[in-house]
Amino acid sequence: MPEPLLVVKDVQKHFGGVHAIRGCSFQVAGKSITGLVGPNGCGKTTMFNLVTGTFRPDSGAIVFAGRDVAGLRPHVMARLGVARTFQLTRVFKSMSILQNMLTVPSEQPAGERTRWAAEVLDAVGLAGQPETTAGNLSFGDQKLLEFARIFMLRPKLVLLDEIFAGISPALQERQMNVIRDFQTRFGVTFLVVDHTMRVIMNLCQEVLVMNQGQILARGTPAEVSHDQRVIEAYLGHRTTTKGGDNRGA
Amino acid sequence: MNTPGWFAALLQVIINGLLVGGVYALSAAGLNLVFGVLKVANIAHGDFMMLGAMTAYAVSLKLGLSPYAAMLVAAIVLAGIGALTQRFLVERVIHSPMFVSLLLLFAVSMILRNGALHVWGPTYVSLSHDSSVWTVGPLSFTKLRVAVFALGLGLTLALLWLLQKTAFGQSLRATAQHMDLAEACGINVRRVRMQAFALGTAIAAMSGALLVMLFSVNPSMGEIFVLKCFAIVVVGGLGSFSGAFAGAMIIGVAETLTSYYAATQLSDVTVFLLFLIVLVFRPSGVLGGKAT
Amino acid sequence: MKNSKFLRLAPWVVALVALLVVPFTASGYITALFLSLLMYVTLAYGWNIISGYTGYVSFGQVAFFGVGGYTCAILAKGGVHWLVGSLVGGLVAGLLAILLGLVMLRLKGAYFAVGMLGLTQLFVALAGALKRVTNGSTGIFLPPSLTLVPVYLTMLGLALAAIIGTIFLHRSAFGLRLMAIREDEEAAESLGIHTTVYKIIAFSISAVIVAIAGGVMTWYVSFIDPQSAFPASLNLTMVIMAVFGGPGTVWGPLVGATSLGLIAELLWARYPGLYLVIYGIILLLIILYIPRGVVPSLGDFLRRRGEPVRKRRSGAVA
Ligand SMILES: Nc1ncnc2c1ncn2[C@@H]1O[C@H](COP(=O)(O)OP(=O)(O)OP(=O)(O)O)[C@@H](O)[C@H]1O
Ligand SMILES: [Mg+2]
Repeated sequence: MPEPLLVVKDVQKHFGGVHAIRGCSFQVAGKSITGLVGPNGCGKTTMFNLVTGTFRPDSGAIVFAGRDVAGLRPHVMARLGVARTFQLTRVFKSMSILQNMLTVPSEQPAGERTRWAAEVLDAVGLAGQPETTAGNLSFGDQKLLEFARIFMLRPKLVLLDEIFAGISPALQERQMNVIRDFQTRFGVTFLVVDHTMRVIMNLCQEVLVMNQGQILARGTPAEVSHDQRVIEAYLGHRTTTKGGDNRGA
Repeated sequence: MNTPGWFAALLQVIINGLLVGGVYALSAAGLNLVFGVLKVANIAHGDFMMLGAMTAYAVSLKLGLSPYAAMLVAAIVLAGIGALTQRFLVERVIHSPMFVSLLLLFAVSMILRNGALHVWGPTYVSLSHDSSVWTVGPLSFTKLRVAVFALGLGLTLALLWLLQKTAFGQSLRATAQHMDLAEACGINVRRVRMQAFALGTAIAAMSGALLVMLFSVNPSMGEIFVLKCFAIVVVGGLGSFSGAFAGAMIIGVAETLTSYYAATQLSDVTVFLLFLIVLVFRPSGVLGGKAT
Repeated sequence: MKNSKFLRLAPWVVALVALLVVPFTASGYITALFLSLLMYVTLAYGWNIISGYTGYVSFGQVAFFGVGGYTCAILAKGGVHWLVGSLVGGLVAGLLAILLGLVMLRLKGAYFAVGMLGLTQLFVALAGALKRVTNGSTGIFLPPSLTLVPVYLTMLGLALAAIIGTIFLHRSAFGLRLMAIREDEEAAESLGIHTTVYKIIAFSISAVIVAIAGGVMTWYVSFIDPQSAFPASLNLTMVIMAVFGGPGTVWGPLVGATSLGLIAELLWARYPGLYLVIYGIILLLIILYIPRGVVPSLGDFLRRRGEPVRKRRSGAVA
């Protein structure tokens, strides 16, 4: 098995009386595409917030590239190479597409950054009018822009929170291709949260199943989807094959 | 009595502070109410207090009403002004980002304050009508202060009763907690917002009318008092009524202590310093009220 | 190509030359009027950096006006040249803003706005209380300045610096990141922007600009006391002018400060009490009908009319 890029060990997180993460442990292999699935409210987004430094874990360790990063500020995590998208899309609405991309700090010279921005925009299919104001884009295009923007960080690890929800299968296909492409060309590691099982099955080499703040099962998509515990966890929650729609944050 | 002199003096100062605190508590409750239901920081609150004070003063003088009757008139007038302000101004930006309603009420504050300065001029007025005292041992209680404190306290409790025990209060609280859900449950949230704002300005007016019985005030009073109210609300924890009550007492006492033992000019320094320190380091209030 | 660039710059050059000759040719009244306008322009640009670009709406930048004013007055009293005094005032305010920013900028939205209002009142109260330094409510009297010209030229330079600085800011990566903080601070942070540092720098730059203006104006009126150091009216006008023109835009503060500044001077002479009421009404109307301000709304209007927009507003980072 390849070196794990991210190791989460026995992490706990409370919100007042809510025990959101209950001793969660898992590993994400470097240069892999790993899925993270689980019923609504099981703690996937909270786990992302812990890994990216938005929240500090109550206890437990978060090790990224061999370094304990628990509690580091989000901007530090970003500089270390951990990028994330938000479940509710957060583009800078009054700025143009290109400005959204160029806002991201980097050590690269300006010319190189602009070229890279163009390349990424082209890959996701937003190269058309870089001067368009982001707020005027369709919902799907805003999601694409947020997705594209994180690659300006030249990240090592990318956390994607339901970027496939509510967009057309054609666009989903395109995003999947971009993910695979960045994985093979640049060795980027992806941790993908989604309720769209078709995407998870197609895209991921390994799937982690979360339930009530813990990892319940892990394995290949085929193994996991036949695991009795997983099916039980989902029972009564939702059908596992349908695309995600109107869920709360 | 063998109470040492310094102790009696200290006790007296603290009592005076607590007595003023009653009015502050009432005013802060109005600010809290508007923030809770509308999620709007009413930066014109102090100017509504001022309008209440000036209206009570004018009514009492022109119509020869008692200051307490004048207070009720001021409350009714200001409830009307508040309802109109909400319906035609605040309601239109209620779904905009926070800073829009903030700037809007900032504009309202400018208009009220400078309009009042234009109409009444910068002279200080007061309705103080009684200076008799009760004496208990070494302590003395100005009857007027006690009456004003009792009224402030009584009105605050009445507001709490209204919020907790009546159907009207129920709809206000439902809207405060979950605007969308309240709407889905058939509550007319637009009307509730208007009622809450009108009630908030009426409360501001009553506290202003009570203040003008204790102190001299002028049309610029809002500038300081809005900050005092925010200080109280922040010290007590935003949205917490019992916290605001404690906050009012803390601010009242801090003020009188500074005036007595340091200098009168420093009392504002103390209040704003307390305000900023709490705002920055304990944003959920010193009493650990609701976090925001 | 060269020609068109020249044509575009020509009006600005003419305006600048006109502004430069004003104090030498126009009457004292007109010069004083222009001085006021230049001060408004400067203050509106100062406010725009922290509140327009970064989105931290401050109702208390006038605190730095007073800090600059007092620094200049105290130094001038001790024999330092007023221009040096004003610049030192800017420096003091800038450093103070870094310290204050560390705590104040942790506040968000209404908390920051009201907190800054409270901070200003604190400064007023302190200025009255620290008699040894500020001479309390008696104030500090300075020798009257005999000529307006140096004061005027200094304010012109300051206003120009603020405008040109904003032009660069708007096109820079730094400015882009301030806007990102305004749009969504959490997202900005997730993209590796150290938001605290950016906010404090913006706050400090804003303070420096406002404070230097405060120093220059204090020398101009030869007097300072707690009321004149932190004038509530200025606190209001700098907000209104920037919001009127268009906060977070390059030209908004200029348009807002000159138009409303002219109105203020006219109204001020005739209805000294009412002009702030009228200002309040203007602010109300702006917020209700064109919340983005005159400049962006006018831009939209022209674009809809199908007029060719010559300026390619690619704020893209070079
Ligand atoms: N900031 C917060 N404050 C309080 N509770 C929170 C907070 N964030 C998350 N929670 C709680 O933690 C639990 C896990 O929430 P989380 O958003 O991580 O779930 P999720 O797996 O992402 O769900 P979904 O699939 O619906 O996005 C929920 O009970 C939620 O209410
Ligand atoms: Mg989630």
